[in-house]
Amino acid sequence: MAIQEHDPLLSVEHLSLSFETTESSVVVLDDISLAIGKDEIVALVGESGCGKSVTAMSIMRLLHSPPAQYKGGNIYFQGEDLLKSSDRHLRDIRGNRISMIFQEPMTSLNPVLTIGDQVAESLTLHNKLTKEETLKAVVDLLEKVRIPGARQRLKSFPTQYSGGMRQRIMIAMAISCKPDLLIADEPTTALDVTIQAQILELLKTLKRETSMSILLITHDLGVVAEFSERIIVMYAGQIVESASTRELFKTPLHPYTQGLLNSLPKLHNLETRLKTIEGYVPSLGKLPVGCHFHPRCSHVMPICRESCPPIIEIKQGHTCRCFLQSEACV
Amino acid sequence: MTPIKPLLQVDNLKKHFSDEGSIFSRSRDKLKAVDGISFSIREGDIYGLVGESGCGKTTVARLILRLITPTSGSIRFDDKDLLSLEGEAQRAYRKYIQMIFQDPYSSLNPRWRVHRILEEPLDAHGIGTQIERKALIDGIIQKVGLPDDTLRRYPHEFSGGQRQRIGIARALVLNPRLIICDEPISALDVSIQAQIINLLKDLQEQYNLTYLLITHDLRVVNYLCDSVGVMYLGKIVEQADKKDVFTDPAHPYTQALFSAIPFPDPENISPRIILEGDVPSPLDPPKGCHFHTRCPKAMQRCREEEPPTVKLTDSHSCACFLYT
Repeated sequence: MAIQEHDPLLSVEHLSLSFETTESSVVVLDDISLAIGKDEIVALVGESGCGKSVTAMSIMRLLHSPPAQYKGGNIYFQGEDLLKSSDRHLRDIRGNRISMIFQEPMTSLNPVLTIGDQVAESLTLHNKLTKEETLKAVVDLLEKVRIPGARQRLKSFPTQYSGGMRQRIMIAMAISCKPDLLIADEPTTALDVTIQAQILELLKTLKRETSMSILLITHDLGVVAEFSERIIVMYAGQIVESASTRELFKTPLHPYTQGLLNSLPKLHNLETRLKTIEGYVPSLGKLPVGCHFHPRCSHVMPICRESCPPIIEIKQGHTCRCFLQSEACV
Repeated sequence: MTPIKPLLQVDNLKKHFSDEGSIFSRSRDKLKAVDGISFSIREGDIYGLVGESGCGKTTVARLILRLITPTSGSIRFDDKDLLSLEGEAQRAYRKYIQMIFQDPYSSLNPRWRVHRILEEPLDAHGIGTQIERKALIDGIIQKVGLPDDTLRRYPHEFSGGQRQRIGIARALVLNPRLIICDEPISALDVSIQAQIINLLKDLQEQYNLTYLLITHDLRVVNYLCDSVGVMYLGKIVEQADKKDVFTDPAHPYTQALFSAIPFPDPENISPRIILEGDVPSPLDPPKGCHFHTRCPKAMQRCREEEPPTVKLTDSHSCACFLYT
């Protein structure tokens, strides 16, 4: 069981963020609180537009302002508040203590730089290394992510690699400075299933070897079930439920989580119809009043249409944002 | 099962792309996108063509629609040779075969209202009067579960799931007999995927449609398909009724595909077969069995000869030396 006795590595507290334009202001993150312990794999799950990538980007402080406006809250990483850090200090952290893998291995590598140069970039930026040391470190990294013939490949370009290989190169770049936290934003979504299995296996092995924490952002509940220790479910800019992986799959409390789990196509199942969640994901600019999920919820009550439920801890380590649960508590 | 005559029969279909003529290419590089595949679909059945990106499954779809011309082989639809049809006759056949595309964001014209999008196929084939068309379109819109005011609006006003419904409506409007669904749900959100799977299933039952479902996701196959063909680098390596493939996958590639699917149950994680390496380039496929470079059971023979397709049972065939 992953219970944090010591201080978490990363703790986001009541983070709110909006995108402001001259015409409108859209709340993208609404009171996000999460913590990631040392050596832990946490998954952030949700559908497109729910704010999961924005959460990752705001932890890395990669959002441009304007339009992004932090409306409140704190992001503590190893005790420092990242929201109060200077740009210079943030540059020291990025790629060094926190690093990130992006979804699209095709577009996130620079097509006109060689693989060797790109992997070396953050290494040389954060460490004082001689040419020979850098070369050796790059070859080691490429071998670590199981790229065959690493030494011969240093001078090749990203276009000469397949999607799976490019994602390996991205991972090599991300782990080059032995980060404490790796944020993986949909690392396998653009890959084929057999390649996805390889990459997840690689990430697991690397995690065992280096004891870094991983924040995995994904929409794939299958990946989550095998990979992560704890799950945070987001819907329309809010966290609606969080629990340990086993607990969440066994007793999901929020109707959205229940609906998601029920609507998953199973591989060996004789039923011919899938259970569905009615309706569509609302856009963040046009959120319904009250609970964001109420127009699609099968347990909707009058109170859900009027006010937004608070997120409360139902059991040790299991939180949920739903009036059904808060009533049960009272 | 009663023997029903196949609606679509594909025999030894090949499509080789060559980039002769390009000044950058080595002369006569041949990309064997589809390299001799055969399958048939009975009327009212759903056939799933499964494989990873680059295996040639979308090329098969484009060949059947005659958007591109095959190098060799035959495609028979309703006992007529599709490849011999030309001009007006070919055009007339197009209305029996329609397609649903993967990406609902790029497959609808952003400058057209939904009404025009749905009317265009009718227009192209000269079907119905104004009033008849309106009734037809209104009916279809309801069938696919879109609100009444849909017709006056533009595609950008809809979410991904709703757009895919518009794409489905456009395919249905000509009352086709065969619909080719090319990854119809892979661009959609998880909670929307189930809705579209159910919709495709309902429509199929209601209109007795025949689907060729192209997908990489075996879970979708489980819900929709009657029979399955697994493709790897331009060839079908295994073909059977869904039941047989799911209970007893024969080809090592099919087994690996099943095992690679992440299982949404943390209590029940099975050990998986992790394939080494990447899918080889179709420009330079390995000698012998195309799969031998990644196959955990490769033998010497696999590196030298190409395995023939053998029948395991009446409806189950597999191209692998393990079974010869």
